[in-house]
Amino acid sequence: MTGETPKAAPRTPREGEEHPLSLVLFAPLRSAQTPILWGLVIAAIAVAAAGFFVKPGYYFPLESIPVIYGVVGAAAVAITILLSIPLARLLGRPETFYEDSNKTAQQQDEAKAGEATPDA
Amino acid sequence: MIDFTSLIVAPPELTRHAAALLVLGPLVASCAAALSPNGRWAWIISFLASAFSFWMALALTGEVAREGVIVYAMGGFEPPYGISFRIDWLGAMFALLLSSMAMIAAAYSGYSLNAEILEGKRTLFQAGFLLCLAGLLGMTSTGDAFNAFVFLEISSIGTYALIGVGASRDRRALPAAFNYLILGTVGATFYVIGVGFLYAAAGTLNMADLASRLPALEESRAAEAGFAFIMVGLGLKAAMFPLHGWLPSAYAHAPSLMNVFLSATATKAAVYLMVRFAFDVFPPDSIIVERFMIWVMAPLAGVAAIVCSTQAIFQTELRRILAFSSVAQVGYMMLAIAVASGAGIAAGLLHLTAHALMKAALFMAIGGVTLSVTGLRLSDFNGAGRTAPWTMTPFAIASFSLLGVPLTMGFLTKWRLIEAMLGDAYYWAVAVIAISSILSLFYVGRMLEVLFFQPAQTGKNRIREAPLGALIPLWVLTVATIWFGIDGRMVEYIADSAATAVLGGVE
Amino acid sequence: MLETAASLVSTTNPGLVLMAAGIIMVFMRGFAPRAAVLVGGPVLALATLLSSGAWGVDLATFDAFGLTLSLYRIDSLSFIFGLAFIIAAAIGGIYSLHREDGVQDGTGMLYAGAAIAAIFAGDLITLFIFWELTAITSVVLIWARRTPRAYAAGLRYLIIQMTSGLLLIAGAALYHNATGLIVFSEMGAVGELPVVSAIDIAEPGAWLMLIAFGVKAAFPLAHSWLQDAYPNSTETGTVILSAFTTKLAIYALARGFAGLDLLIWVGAIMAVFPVFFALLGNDLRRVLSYALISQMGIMVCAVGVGGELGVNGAAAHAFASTIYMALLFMSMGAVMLRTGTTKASEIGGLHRTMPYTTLFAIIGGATIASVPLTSGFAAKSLTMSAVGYDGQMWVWLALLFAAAAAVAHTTIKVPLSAFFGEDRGRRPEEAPFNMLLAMGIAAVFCIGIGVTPRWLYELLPYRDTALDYLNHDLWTPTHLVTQFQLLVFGALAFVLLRRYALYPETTPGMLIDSEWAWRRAAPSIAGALGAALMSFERAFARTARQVGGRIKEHLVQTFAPARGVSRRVPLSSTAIWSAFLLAAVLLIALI
Repeated sequence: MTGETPKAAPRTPREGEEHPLSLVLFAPLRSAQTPILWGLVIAAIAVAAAGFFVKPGYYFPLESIPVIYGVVGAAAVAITILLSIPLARLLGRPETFYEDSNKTAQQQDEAKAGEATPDA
Repeated sequence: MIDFTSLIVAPPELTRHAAALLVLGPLVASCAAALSPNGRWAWIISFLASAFSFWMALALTGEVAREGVIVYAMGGFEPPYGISFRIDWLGAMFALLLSSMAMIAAAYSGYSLNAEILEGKRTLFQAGFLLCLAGLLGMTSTGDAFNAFVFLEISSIGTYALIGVGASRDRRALPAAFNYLILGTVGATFYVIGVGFLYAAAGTLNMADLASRLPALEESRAAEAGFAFIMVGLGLKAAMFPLHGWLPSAYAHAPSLMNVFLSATATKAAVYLMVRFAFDVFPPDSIIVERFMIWVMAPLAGVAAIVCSTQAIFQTELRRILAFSSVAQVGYMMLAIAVASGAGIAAGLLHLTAHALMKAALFMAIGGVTLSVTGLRLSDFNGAGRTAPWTMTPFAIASFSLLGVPLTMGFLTKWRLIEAMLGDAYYWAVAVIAISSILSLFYVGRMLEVLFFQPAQTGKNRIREAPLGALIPLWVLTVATIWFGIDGRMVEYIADSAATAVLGGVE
Repeated sequence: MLETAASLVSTTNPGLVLMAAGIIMVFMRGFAPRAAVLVGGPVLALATLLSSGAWGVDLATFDAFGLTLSLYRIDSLSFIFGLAFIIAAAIGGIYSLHREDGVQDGTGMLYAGAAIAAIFAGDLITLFIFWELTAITSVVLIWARRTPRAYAAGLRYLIIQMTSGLLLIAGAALYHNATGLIVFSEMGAVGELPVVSAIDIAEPGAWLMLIAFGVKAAFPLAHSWLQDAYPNSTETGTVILSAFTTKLAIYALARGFAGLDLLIWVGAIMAVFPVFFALLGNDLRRVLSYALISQMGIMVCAVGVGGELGVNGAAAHAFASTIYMALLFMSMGAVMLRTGTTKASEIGGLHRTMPYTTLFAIIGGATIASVPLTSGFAAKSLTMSAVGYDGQMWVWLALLFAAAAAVAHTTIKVPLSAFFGEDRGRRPEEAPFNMLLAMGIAAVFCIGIGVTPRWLYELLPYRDTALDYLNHDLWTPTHLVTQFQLLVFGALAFVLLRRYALYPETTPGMLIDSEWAWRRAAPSIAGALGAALMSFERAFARTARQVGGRIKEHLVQTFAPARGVSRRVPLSSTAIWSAFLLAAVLLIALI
């Protein structure tokens, strides 16, 4: 590993051993995928409903559309995630992409092509 | 602001003859050193003689501040018949620089020679060192063009011998010295041919007389040919690109003391003569000078700054890296001088001073660990900064100065260089300095990485600190580099005065 | 005597105090002395700052280069940045206590000191000097990782940072030539408002300075040094690096170019494009580096809008983000220390044994997402309002987009990948106490500012505007409800997409970014060109050899008896060159 690792290796807790604070705070969340989803749905309905009881924002006319902030928030996350899938295809490279500087660029691209279609 | 007119350090009788004593001191001491019983005595003589020269240089500086130009007639024969010494601010600046660097180098030589030179040769080595110093000081203070040739040869002969002595550490010192001998002789011959042309055209060898007669000979072919020969000859001596072939080997294989002294002084004295001839002896606005500066010197200097910095990156030996860096730095100076306004010359002279300080410190630090470093390659110095921090910290500071890091003298001078070039709208020259600075980042980074970040060598190969005798002069240089980086007014004043003196012509 | 000492203290740039402490730090050994200097240095710097004399005057000047340099000058803009830096230095110091490494601790403090000194520089030359010092000192923090990869990344970082400095000094020189001005933070009488937009973009050199600031601020296409260098530093180095360089650039931009319209668009692009890279990143410290760039974009946007609200927004956001980005990097540093990696594909489920670190990461994540009652909410709202009042709808939407995307790429993704998610069987010990303490202090700042933003607002450059905003805009029901809408719907979208397997699980590997242009494309082109040149040169050399062969052989015989030894010494070529040069000079002389 790196040069600055402390000499005495940290004590590794035994398998299954867990920090008491973790048991209190996080353990209940572990198997709660569906409750979290429903909690979020209820919270979303609540804040969307609350939007009708407050004055709309005053910077842009756009803000008078109901739940526009919620739409922007959901759209932003959805766009980020969905766009990143093709982006990962386009820009993804192996970890050592730049490191093999001894090889020429062409050799590397060949190597990459070789990886992509392993002659099994 | 800064007043040198009240600088009186010696009694009036001595001050009156200071110009002659400046050169005679080391010359006489050279004989004494040759005859002294052992190396220790020779060292003491050498140090005292160079300290004496420094003292005389200080006395001269005060005198120049009061009188402007000092003309000292040798043996009472007035010029133009006799040989005269003629010292203005430019001469005083070089006298100060050369003698102070010599004093520091002499202090260092006590340790350095013990480490590298056989006991039997040390007295002669010191004699050669003093001879070389006398020659360099003579070159920068004489007022006679032919006399300058004589001093040039005196200093060169000393140098050839002293480089060759390095053969006990590195066999390649012999061919290096031989090369330098051949090329140095070629340069000196060119110079003397040029002086011959001038004599044929103007009928005098005295620089002040030449300066008054040459403007009338504007169209003289002989004077122009003379100029060409002199500039190329001196360019060879000053390692002007592409005439620098002798320098890397001469620096790399010479004994440490000569690394320090040569890098700080030898090429500088040749630069002095170039400035003297181009701007003082020849009228600076004459066509030939202008064309030479713009079409030859500036482009070559620019190429030097970039090509030699690149070459330095690819060197494998530490001393060779520094040697190529020196050629690049000479390029900076010449580039500034070729800009040829007062600010350009002042900036060039200032950079020359800064470079003398930092290169001397760099070579001194390397020489300091030479007892415990077996090889010459960069990798032989792995981790030196870890086991010898007192020796290598100055190396790091000096290389920061080389890069032009703020708070070091290198920053001050690089700033002045760029300011001078911007002032005359030489934007390409600024770009050259910028590119070369980035290139120098690579080789300096490489050196510092090896010295400070590689694991230190242990056991038999452990690199040990230099002894106190080497550390004191080394730290003096380092403190000076930082001091002038923070408050450079004194050197700036001297350099500005020197530039004014040389452009003002002869009164 | 006492008065002399007091006046000396009140005229010393606090950065210099910290730098002196940094030099002492190099030689400190043992826990207690190191703790004393690491914490005492920032405390002393803070005391120096608070005891400073009047604002808006040169407290220390220095004559050099024929100019009067102003070494120390405070006004309300520099004060808040200086304060943020001192706090960050103290937190970084505490965070580094567990590991005795004099070089790293010392250069870390030198770096922080140089950044603080740059903040209080009154003129462009002084700014440049400390600007370069931050570059030189900070690279040591990257090299301190002591791996070849970190070394190479450090070199690249150094070259780019030094180039920024060169651009700055070149711009300053041109600007000085044209305008005769060198001052950077000149101000009227005491207590008046700070000077912003000090540099006129129409003057020569101004563009060079803008680019110089832009490189350090990680403008788009000039940003690759950040995500290249930061993840390659040590676990403590990244924390310290993340605090200073970029915020210094924001300060310089605000001081020099506030209100420059171009910056609005640069900022908007800068806020949006990194979110994709952050979402896809595998190395979580690289994810945070991109998140940092996105946050910087929001600040650049605020600077571009300018005006009292915009500058307030940039300053407040810089203050808050210095601390919450440090908190996030610290939590990842703790993971790095305990597991040796921060790659999402190699860790997961760490909350079982590192619950405190988990909690702090969640607090940091909540802050970057501007959850109300965190400092992010108090700070980012100013910028959003500034853009809103300016009427730039598309920019405003872009910033909303970036803010909501932060929920995905940092608030949820970082804790999910490191502390929850797939359990890879790692059971590392909780972070050492000093790390937890540092994270705790940062978390207290995050929450404290969020709950009582008044004290931060009172320190902002335009105090009255800030307090007015606090009283009338910050806590309105509309603002709170809309902010919660943004966050809750964003989180809901994330959870839903992940449930239907549309969320790209991170896999080992990396993403290429703009650095591809100079790390891959440029070398390839250069290689091709080089090959072409080589073949040309070979052909040329062949011809030249045939013609000059006999002459050269003769000269070599004449000049170099020891041919074998002196082959590397180009004696003959130098001699030929001198003849050639002589001919050239004669030629131009005799024309």
